[in-house]
Amino acid sequence: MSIEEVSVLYTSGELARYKGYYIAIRNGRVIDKDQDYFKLLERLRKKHGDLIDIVIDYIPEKPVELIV
Amino acid sequence: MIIYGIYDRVRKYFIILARINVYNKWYNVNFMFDTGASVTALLDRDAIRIFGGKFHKLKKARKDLVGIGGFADTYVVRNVELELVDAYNPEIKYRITLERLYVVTHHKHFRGDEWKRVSQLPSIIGRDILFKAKKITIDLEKQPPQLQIAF
Repeated sequence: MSIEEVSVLYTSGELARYKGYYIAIRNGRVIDKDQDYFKLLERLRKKHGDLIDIVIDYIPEKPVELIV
Repeated sequence: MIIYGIYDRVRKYFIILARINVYNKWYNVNFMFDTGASVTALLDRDAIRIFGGKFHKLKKARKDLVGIGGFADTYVVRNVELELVDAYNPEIKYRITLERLYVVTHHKHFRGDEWKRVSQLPSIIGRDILFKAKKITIDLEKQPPQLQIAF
Protein backbone atom coordinates (compact mmCIF):
# COMPACT_ATOMS: atom_id res chain seq x y z
CA MET A 1 0.00 0.00 0.00
CA SER A 2 1.11 3.55 -0.57
CA ILE A 3 1.22 4.56 3.05
CA GLU A 4 1.97 8.21 2.45
CA GLU A 5 -1.08 8.60 0.23
CA VAL A 6 -3.30 6.73 2.70
CA SER A 7 -2.18 9.10 5.45
CA VAL A 8 -2.86 12.15 3.31
CA LEU A 9 -6.29 10.88 2.29
CA TYR A 10 -7.44 10.56 5.89
CA THR A 11 -5.67 13.48 7.52
CA SER A 12 -6.39 16.05 4.82
CA GLY A 13 -10.15 15.95 5.23
CA GLU A 14 -10.47 15.05 1.53
CA LEU A 15 -12.92 12.30 2.43
CA ALA A 16 -15.55 14.94 3.20
CA ARG A 17 -16.10 15.12 -0.57
CA TYR A 18 -17.64 11.64 -0.45
CA LYS A 19 -20.35 12.18 2.14
CA GLY A 20 -23.15 9.64 1.80
CA TYR A 21 -21.03 7.23 -0.26
CA TYR A 22 -19.30 3.93 0.25
CA ILE A 23 -15.85 4.43 -1.22
CA ALA A 24 -13.26 1.96 -2.45
CA ILE A 25 -9.71 2.94 -1.48
CA ARG A 26 -6.64 1.43 -3.10
CA ASN A 27 -3.12 2.72 -2.52
CA GLY A 28 -4.47 5.82 -0.86
CA ARG A 29 -6.75 6.74 -3.75
CA VAL A 30 -10.51 6.56 -4.06
CA ILE A 31 -11.05 4.32 -7.10
CA ASP A 32 -14.84 3.91 -7.02
CA LYS A 33 -17.88 4.97 -5.02
CA ASP A 34 -21.56 4.12 -4.68
CA GLN A 35 -24.41 4.87 -2.32
CA ASP A 36 -25.13 1.13 -2.25
CA TYR A 37 -22.50 -1.04 -0.57
CA PHE A 38 -23.50 -4.24 -2.34
CA LYS A 39 -23.54 -2.67 -5.81
CA LEU A 40 -20.07 -1.29 -5.18
CA LEU A 41 -18.84 -4.64 -3.89
CA GLU A 42 -20.19 -6.51 -6.92
CA ARG A 43 -18.62 -4.03 -9.34
CA LEU A 44 -15.27 -4.22 -7.55
CA ARG A 45 -15.28 -8.02 -7.48
CA LYS A 46 -15.98 -8.19 -11.22
CA LYS A 47 -13.13 -5.82 -11.93
CA HIS A 48 -10.56 -6.76 -9.29
CA GLY A 49 -11.44 -10.26 -8.01
CA ASP A 50 -10.40 -10.79 -4.40
CA LEU A 51 -10.35 -7.41 -2.76
CA ILE A 52 -7.17 -7.94 -0.80
CA ASP A 53 -5.75 -4.45 -1.28
CA ILE A 54 -9.00 -2.51 -1.56
CA VAL A 55 -10.64 -1.16 1.58
CA ILE A 56 -14.29 -0.10 1.50
CA ASP A 57 -15.14 2.81 3.73
CA TYR A 58 -18.30 4.79 4.35
CA ILE A 59 -18.44 8.54 4.83
CA PRO A 60 -21.62 9.57 6.66
CA GLU A 61 -23.63 12.51 5.37
CA LYS A 62 -23.94 13.96 8.85
CA PRO A 63 -21.54 13.53 11.76
CA VAL A 64 -22.49 10.47 13.78
CA GLU A 65 -21.51 9.45 17.27
CA LEU A 66 -20.06 5.95 17.32
CA ILE A 67 -20.61 4.19 20.62
CA VAL A 68 -18.72 0.93 20.30
CA MET B 1 9.25 -0.70 17.51
CA ILE B 2 6.75 2.13 17.08
CA ILE B 3 3.59 1.89 14.98
CA TYR B 4 2.01 5.21 14.09
CA GLY B 5 -1.72 5.51 13.49
CA ILE B 6 -3.54 7.98 11.26
CA TYR B 7 -5.99 10.60 12.45
CA ASP B 8 -9.15 10.64 10.36
CA ARG B 9 -10.04 14.29 10.23
CA VAL B 10 -13.56 13.71 8.92
CA ARG B 11 -14.72 11.14 11.49
CA LYS B 12 -12.36 12.28 14.22
CA TYR B 13 -10.85 8.98 15.29
CA PHE B 14 -7.53 7.21 14.89
CA ILE B 15 -7.06 4.49 12.30
CA ILE B 16 -4.52 1.70 12.49
CA LEU B 17 -3.50 0.25 9.14
CA ALA B 18 -3.29 -3.52 9.20
CA ARG B 19 -3.21 -6.68 7.15
CA ILE B 20 -4.82 -9.94 8.15
CA ASN B 21 -4.14 -13.38 6.74
CA VAL B 22 -7.35 -15.19 5.86
CA TYR B 23 -7.16 -18.45 3.92
CA ASN B 24 -3.56 -17.61 2.96
CA LYS B 25 -4.38 -14.21 1.52
CA TRP B 26 -3.33 -10.96 3.14
CA TYR B 27 -6.17 -8.44 3.24
CA ASN B 28 -5.74 -4.75 4.03
CA VAL B 29 -7.97 -3.58 6.86
CA ASN B 30 -8.27 -0.16 8.48
CA PHE B 31 -9.10 -0.58 12.15
CA MET B 32 -10.50 2.07 14.43
CA PHE B 33 -8.32 2.44 17.53
CA ASP B 34 -10.62 1.60 20.44
CA THR B 35 -9.25 1.05 23.92
CA GLY B 36 -12.86 0.65 25.07
CA ALA B 37 -13.22 -2.59 23.12
CA SER B 38 -11.94 -5.70 24.87
CA VAL B 39 -11.52 -7.62 21.61
CA THR B 40 -10.59 -6.96 18.00
CA ALA B 41 -13.41 -7.45 15.52
CA LEU B 42 -14.07 -7.21 11.83
CA LEU B 43 -17.37 -5.49 11.23
CA ASP B 44 -19.79 -5.60 8.34
CA ARG B 45 -17.95 -3.83 5.54
CA ASP B 46 -14.70 -5.72 6.02
CA ALA B 47 -16.38 -8.98 7.04
CA ILE B 48 -18.44 -9.18 3.85
CA ARG B 49 -15.56 -8.02 1.65
CA ILE B 50 -13.23 -10.67 3.06
CA PHE B 51 -15.53 -13.62 3.71
CA GLY B 52 -18.18 -12.95 1.06
CA GLY B 53 -21.42 -14.63 2.04
CA LYS B 54 -19.62 -17.68 3.34
CA PHE B 55 -20.17 -17.08 7.03
CA HIS B 56 -21.66 -20.55 7.40
CA LYS B 57 -18.10 -21.84 7.10
CA LEU B 58 -17.13 -19.90 10.23
CA LYS B 59 -17.75 -20.92 13.81
CA LYS B 60 -20.47 -19.05 15.67
CA ALA B 61 -18.99 -17.18 18.59
CA ARG B 62 -20.08 -18.54 21.95
CA LYS B 63 -19.05 -15.38 23.72
CA ASP B 64 -21.64 -12.63 23.60
CA LEU B 65 -20.20 -9.32 22.47
CA VAL B 66 -22.04 -6.72 24.48
CA GLY B 67 -22.25 -3.42 22.62
CA ILE B 68 -22.17 -4.74 19.09
CA GLY B 69 -24.33 -7.78 19.69
CA GLY B 70 -28.09 -7.56 19.61
CA PHE B 71 -29.12 -8.13 16.04
CA ALA B 72 -25.61 -9.07 14.95
CA ASP B 73 -24.36 -12.48 13.92
CA THR B 74 -21.00 -13.04 15.55
CA TYR B 75 -18.42 -15.56 14.42
CA VAL B 76 -14.92 -16.36 15.52
CA VAL B 77 -11.85 -17.23 13.48
CA ARG B 78 -9.02 -18.87 15.42
CA ASN B 79 -5.30 -18.16 15.18
CA VAL B 80 -5.34 -15.37 12.63
CA GLU B 81 -2.06 -13.76 11.61
CA LEU B 82 -2.30 -10.01 11.77
CA GLU B 83 0.19 -7.25 11.01
CA LEU B 84 -0.10 -3.69 12.22
CA VAL B 85 1.56 -1.43 9.67
CA ASP B 86 3.21 1.86 10.52
CA ALA B 87 1.40 4.76 8.86
CA TYR B 88 4.60 6.42 7.71
CA ASN B 89 6.90 3.51 6.96
CA PRO B 90 5.25 0.34 5.58
CA GLU B 91 8.44 -1.61 6.25
CA ILE B 92 7.71 -1.34 9.96
CA LYS B 93 5.20 -4.03 10.90
CA TYR B 94 4.18 -5.61 14.15
CA ARG B 95 3.04 -9.16 13.57
CA ILE B 96 1.00 -11.20 15.99
CA THR B 97 -1.15 -14.30 15.87
CA LEU B 98 -4.52 -13.42 17.26
CA GLU B 99 -6.03 -16.37 19.08
CA ARG B 100 -9.56 -15.21 18.31
CA LEU B 101 -10.67 -12.71 15.69
CA TYR B 102 -14.35 -11.85 15.96
CA VAL B 103 -16.38 -11.31 12.81
CA VAL B 104 -19.61 -9.39 13.22
CA THR B 105 -22.31 -8.82 10.63
CA HIS B 106 -25.78 -7.33 10.73
CA HIS B 107 -26.60 -7.71 7.05
CA LYS B 108 -29.15 -10.51 7.46
CA HIS B 109 -31.21 -8.37 9.78
CA PHE B 110 -31.07 -4.89 8.35
CA ARG B 111 -31.91 -3.34 5.01
CA GLY B 112 -32.04 0.17 3.60
CA ASP B 113 -31.39 2.98 6.04
CA GLU B 114 -30.90 0.58 8.95
CA TRP B 115 -28.15 -1.22 7.07
CA LYS B 116 -26.58 2.12 6.15
CA ARG B 117 -26.46 3.00 9.84
CA VAL B 118 -24.88 -0.24 11.05
CA SER B 119 -22.48 -0.44 8.13
CA GLN B 120 -20.92 2.82 9.25
CA LEU B 121 -19.27 0.91 12.06
CA PRO B 122 -15.60 0.37 11.29
CA SER B 123 -13.65 -2.72 12.25
CA ILE B 124 -12.13 -2.18 15.67
CA ILE B 125 -8.79 -2.99 17.20
CA GLY B 126 -9.27 -3.66 20.87
CA ARG B 127 -7.34 -4.29 24.04
CA ASP B 128 -6.49 -7.89 23.12
CA ILE B 129 -3.89 -6.35 20.79
CA LEU B 130 -3.40 -2.86 22.17
CA PHE B 131 -2.47 -4.05 25.65
CA LYS B 132 0.46 -5.99 24.21
CA ALA B 133 2.06 -2.57 23.71
CA LYS B 134 4.64 -1.18 26.10
CA LYS B 135 3.33 2.32 25.72
CA ILE B 136 0.57 4.11 23.83
CA THR B 137 0.84 7.85 23.29
CA ILE B 138 -1.81 10.20 21.93
CA ASP B 139 -0.70 13.75 21.25
CA LEU B 140 -3.67 15.99 20.49
CA GLU B 141 -1.52 19.12 20.36
CA LYS B 142 0.14 17.94 17.16
CA GLN B 143 -1.50 18.69 13.82
CA PRO B 144 -2.71 16.25 12.73
CA PRO B 145 -3.13 14.59 16.13
CA GLN B 146 -0.65 11.75 16.59
CA LEU B 147 -0.98 8.19 17.86
CA GLN B 148 2.09 6.10 18.64
CA ILE B 149 1.98 2.51 19.79
CA ALA B 150 5.31 1.19 21.07
CA PHE B 151 5.72 -2.58 21.16
